[in-house]
Amino acid sequence: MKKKIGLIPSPDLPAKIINQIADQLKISFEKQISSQIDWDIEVKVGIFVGAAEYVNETMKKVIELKETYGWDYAISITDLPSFSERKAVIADVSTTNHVGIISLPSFGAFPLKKRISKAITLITELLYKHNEATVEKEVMTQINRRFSLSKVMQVDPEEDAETDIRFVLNSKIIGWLRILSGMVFANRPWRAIGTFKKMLTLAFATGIYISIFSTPWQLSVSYTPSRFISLMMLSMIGMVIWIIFAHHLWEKPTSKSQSQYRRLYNVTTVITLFVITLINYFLLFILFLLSISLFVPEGIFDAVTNEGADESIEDYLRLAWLTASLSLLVGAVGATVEKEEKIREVTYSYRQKNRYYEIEKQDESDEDAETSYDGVQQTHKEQDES
Amino acid sequence: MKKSYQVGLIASPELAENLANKIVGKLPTYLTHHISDQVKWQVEYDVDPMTGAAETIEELFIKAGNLKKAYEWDYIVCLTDLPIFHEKYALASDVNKDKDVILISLPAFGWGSLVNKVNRTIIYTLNDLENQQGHLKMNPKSNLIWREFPISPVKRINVTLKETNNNHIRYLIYPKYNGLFRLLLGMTYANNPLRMMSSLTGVVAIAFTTGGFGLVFTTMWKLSHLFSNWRLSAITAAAIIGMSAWVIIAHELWEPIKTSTHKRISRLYNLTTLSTLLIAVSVYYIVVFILFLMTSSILIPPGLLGDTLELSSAATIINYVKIAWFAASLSTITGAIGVGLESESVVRESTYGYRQRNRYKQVLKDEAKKDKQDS
Repeated sequence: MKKKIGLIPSPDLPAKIINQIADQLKISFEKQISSQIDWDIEVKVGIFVGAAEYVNETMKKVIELKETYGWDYAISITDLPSFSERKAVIADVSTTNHVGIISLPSFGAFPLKKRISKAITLITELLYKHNEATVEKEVMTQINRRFSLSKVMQVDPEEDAETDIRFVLNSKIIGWLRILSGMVFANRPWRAIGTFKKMLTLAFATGIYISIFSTPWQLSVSYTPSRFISLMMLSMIGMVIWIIFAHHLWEKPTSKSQSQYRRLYNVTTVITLFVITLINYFLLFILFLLSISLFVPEGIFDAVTNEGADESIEDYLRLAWLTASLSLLVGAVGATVEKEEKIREVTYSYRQKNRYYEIEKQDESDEDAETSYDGVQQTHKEQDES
Repeated sequence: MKKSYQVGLIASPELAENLANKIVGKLPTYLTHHISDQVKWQVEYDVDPMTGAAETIEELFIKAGNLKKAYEWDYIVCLTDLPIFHEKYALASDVNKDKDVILISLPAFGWGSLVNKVNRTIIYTLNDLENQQGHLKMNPKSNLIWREFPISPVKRINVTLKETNNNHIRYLIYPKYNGLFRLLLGMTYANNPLRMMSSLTGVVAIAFTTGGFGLVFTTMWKLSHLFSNWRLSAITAAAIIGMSAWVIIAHELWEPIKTSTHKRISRLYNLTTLSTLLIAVSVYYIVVFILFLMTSSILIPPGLLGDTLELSSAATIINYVKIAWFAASLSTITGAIGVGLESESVVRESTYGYRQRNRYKQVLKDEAKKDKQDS
């Protein structure tokens, strides 16, 4: 017997991960579900907006795609966050329609490929064996083994939707943290570092200039650790605020987005930028440490600052730390990146907007498609655990 | 006797439009309460750039008369953000007794929220108009309008305009300088200096970077310590005035007075632009000062600052305030002046002259369109 399975990852990170694990999935299916069946796995990248706000519509689209391609089962893997009654949703499953949606952010930062492939396998099993009474419980125990920090619960969605089984994380706080870190990861902050070249060079030039004067030397010697940390925080916060302001990365209230998700997007943007700034800060620190040890002679430094000659490495570390903070604060604030596109791509709101345009474009050719869908708040009823 | 009266509000765009939006709902209740509860009051409003573009009041009256006929309104109230003069006195309101047109010049009401002030003025002037014509039985005459001009009462005069032979009642503000000052405040308020401030945010960043660089060095600390408060104040004044002057020059916000047909109005526009800018730049200056105060208190340890300034003990908050003060001025002069503002259009829209010309263009365009349709 042959079964066709369609995997529909969203563009960017999910597509990358799914393409890497698609081959292993077949083996996993044979082992876990049934070796009697010839599993045929197909991957098609699909653009959906807001699985969270538009879960119903996404479900319909997945079903549509399933029919178009003649798949037996279809699973969409999205990078969009999804909440139901403030609990993080891992997956929505419709056993009647043979489709499922997995929300990748709920897997947290550094989503392990093994874990994702297990989740896909288990959902496929659920779809394949949904007539057997024991399968749900079995799947539950298996899923729970994968999510060790918080219990996964199975709930019944209450809003009028296709979904009939929904998996949520029981702990609201852990779920929120997981989704947040998962979203920051999905933003792939490391990809934007290249766009900060101009700011980095500017900061570096400023820092080197500062470090050849004696006042910063004296400052670095007299600083307490708490002052070092405050200055570092000030420079990083200043930098993040500046980038957000200069490139208009803050999403303002619109009628289109639920405020819950808008807030989440904004928090994600801030954290992502903090990560980027932290990496830049670290790079600057290393660069300054190297160049300061070349530029600043030990003897003169000790003479100017009245320091003992024995702690030269500590002196250099201190001076590099101070210079890194200062260079960011007085060098990089006010500068802009060259390719605004790149920096915007690491924010959810921007990618969302782009995908929305793509969909609009597709819908224009599709005459009977409905584009005015406001999104429904997800709710569910919690079952008694047995 | 008529059972219902239609009152039409005609507002110039932006400020007056917002105002009309706010009062249109409340006005009928006020009218019932204060003038007559025997009739039904209906209030409608429309926005017309003409109200804010007219060169003379006569033009306005003709336009208003046409609108009144077109809409079949019984009374028409024009709200304009333009300053109007009657023989060098600031005019708050003009009531055309023959045409039932009331004109209210918003800048004459000075700084602050206009909703209640204008509501009362409309009631008062309408009452006045009704009294003259004897259409309705009046409630006892209130003195609502006097309350709006607490410092100097307005003077009510009767005039007959030669051109149209219409009888007018005019409310003027006495003495002349008080009226002028009120107009200046009201017009500055209409310019919305805080909106202009939003286009200065990029400048804040540049100024901050420049000043922050200076904060690292002892020269700045020592200078700010040595400077007297007088000197620091003088530098502040130079920075703020310099910055305002630069914005005016760079964006050509100054109206040439020599070529202007209405010299007094042009002069008033320029004065308003200046005061708007001074307020916006002062707010900017305070923001930069607070940023520097925060940065300097983290950047410079009190002990080291005390040693450098050769104080007997660690530095106090006063030393930090002086450093931030000096840094704010210096960064404005060396960093901010010359930097391009965020959006040219926002800056220009914050001036009377520019808005005026824009509206005039709009009016001409509309008329041209109409002519085309007619022919």
